Amino acid sequence: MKSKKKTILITGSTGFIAGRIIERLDQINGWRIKALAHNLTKAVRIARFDIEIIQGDILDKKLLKNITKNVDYVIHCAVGNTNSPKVNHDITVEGTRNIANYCLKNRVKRLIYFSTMSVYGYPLPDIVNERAPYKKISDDHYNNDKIQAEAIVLSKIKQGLAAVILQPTIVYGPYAGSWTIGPITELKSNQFFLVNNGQGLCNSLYIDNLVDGVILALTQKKAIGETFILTDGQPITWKKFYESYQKMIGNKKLEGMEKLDKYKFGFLGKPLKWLQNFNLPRPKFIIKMIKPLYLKTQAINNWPENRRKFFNDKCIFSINKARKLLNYSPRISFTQGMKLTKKWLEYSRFI
Amino acid sequence: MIKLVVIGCGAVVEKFHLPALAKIKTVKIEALVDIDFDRLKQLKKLYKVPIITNNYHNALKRTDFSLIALPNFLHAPVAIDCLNQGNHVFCEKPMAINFSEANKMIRASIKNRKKLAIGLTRRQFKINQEIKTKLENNYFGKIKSFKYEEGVPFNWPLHTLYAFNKKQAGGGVLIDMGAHVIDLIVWLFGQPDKIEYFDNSYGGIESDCLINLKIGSIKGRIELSRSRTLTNIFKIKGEKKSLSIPAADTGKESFEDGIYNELFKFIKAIENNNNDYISGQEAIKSIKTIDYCYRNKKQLKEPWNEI
Repeated sequence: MKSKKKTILITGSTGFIAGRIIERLDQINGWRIKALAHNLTKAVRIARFDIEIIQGDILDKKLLKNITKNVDYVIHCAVGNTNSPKVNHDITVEGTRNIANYCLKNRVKRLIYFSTMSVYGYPLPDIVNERAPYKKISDDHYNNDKIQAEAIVLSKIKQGLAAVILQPTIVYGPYAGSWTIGPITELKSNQFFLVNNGQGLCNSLYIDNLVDGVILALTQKKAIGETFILTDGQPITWKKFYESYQKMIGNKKLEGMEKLDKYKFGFLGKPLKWLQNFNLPRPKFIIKMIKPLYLKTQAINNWPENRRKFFNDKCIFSINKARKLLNYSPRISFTQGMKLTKKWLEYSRFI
Repeated sequence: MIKLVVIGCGAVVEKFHLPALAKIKTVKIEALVDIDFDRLKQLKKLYKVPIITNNYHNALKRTDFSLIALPNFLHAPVAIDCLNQGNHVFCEKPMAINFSEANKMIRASIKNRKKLAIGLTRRQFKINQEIKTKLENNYFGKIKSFKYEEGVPFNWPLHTLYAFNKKQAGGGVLIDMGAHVIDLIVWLFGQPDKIEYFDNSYGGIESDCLINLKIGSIKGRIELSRSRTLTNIFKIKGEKKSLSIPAADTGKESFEDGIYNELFKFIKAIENNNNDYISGQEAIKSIKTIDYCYRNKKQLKEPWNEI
């Protein structure tokens, strides 16, 4: 008897978003999951499920042609995150071209493409919705590549591909690298500072709210051919976002970037680094005194101007379209999301 | 001179077993078996091996001893075949993917009067042998409890999916890292009387597991992970004294020393017909525990998922 289960292929399956999508789809009966994994070493999370793991590369056209056959749905999460801009471009742009091509050729019922809030660049207006123009940021390969990749998906939609484009914002939660493990690591080593007293706005998105959006994008008819911004629905300040993590590790108050700038600590970074070139005697008490200052100055010097601008922004990303067409309604509040994230961080021994 | 066939020539064999065997004068590597012929050609040249083949049957008649380092699900059938064909067998851990298969291996060894050794390297290290001696000499007093944690994010360079295939690997972190850990614990403290086992698999293979056990009056807790960095500490609490050492500690010896020692002992045991090696009968004790764990698994709680 033919199985009634719908077959879904997920690319970039060892990443944190795909990992959670697989966990959630596994809880819902009726899905047969195929997961394309480039680096098997990272597949321990998804290997816990009774799914088909396919080892391969998003640039391997022959493989993509085969694995998109007899597949009902595709969620394309693969993105270039190596140290090479060229490789990243190939994975993000050409990889998307490949998957979109074969989804169209093999008549996949729906492709969910993971874009990003980054396509809107900066400076941002007070409110961003899906009609806002995309801006290329010079030297930001991720932003450039994602704009190109999205254009490819849009052109395939015009050719008849049933695709949905999702633009998640600041995705945090269990297993999140950039917005959970990253902040904890920075805060633990005193390498994070609040810009403008943390009054910039963080358009947070708890991972399970995002996955709710993905499931709606897979199932809602009105979603086809559309682009959706997804957030938790209510932005918070960066101060609140980072203070939530700061409380978890029990550190003192967060330091403000401007205060440190005022005292010209940044100015000390270069001479201290220069002094390292000499094999001078370094008594322990001097190292103890200087090291925190040195690390702080290094961190400040390493903060690119773009990052300061990013944390200073007060733009609100609107989810009105997702609410209207997808019936998207974020279930998990920021407080709940952080509570769950804390449980995972404790289990994973980060805190 | 003992003639040997190595069946399965993956990364572990290339890195550890072949260099160790090359140092033992009384053994000759007669044949290498693998499905990757390019790899075999390189190893043949490096170790001057007469026969390379993808079919181990071609080598059994010309050898006395088989070293098996195949995917876990092939350990039992190939070992039994080799024993039936008259070869002594050294099989990498885990001995087998379940208790029943391990039992069949032992029966084949007894029936054919051939030796069956299992690669449980941790017993080879002096640091663990000293703990064993101290326990036997009541150095710690009556043991109250132990706690063993070992875990780092998985970093083994995988080229095939076998390790993530439940049927082929037999399981995840428990049968892999746990094969060493459970053997060490059972060897040191004895067979558990009560086991409570939790893992985080959902029809696939587990990346994390937790075992609460009781061995007589000793309470034990073992936590293993392929996804998290744990404390990696082994603690023993006795009435008189306690001990806290890094988990998987090899002391002053290297892992290579451990492999060399276990192979050297087994080759000497074949030459002198003695029993100074870790036999199948010894190794099955930990397989029994692992098998019980998998059959009585409870779901490991993931409180961040309770939404």
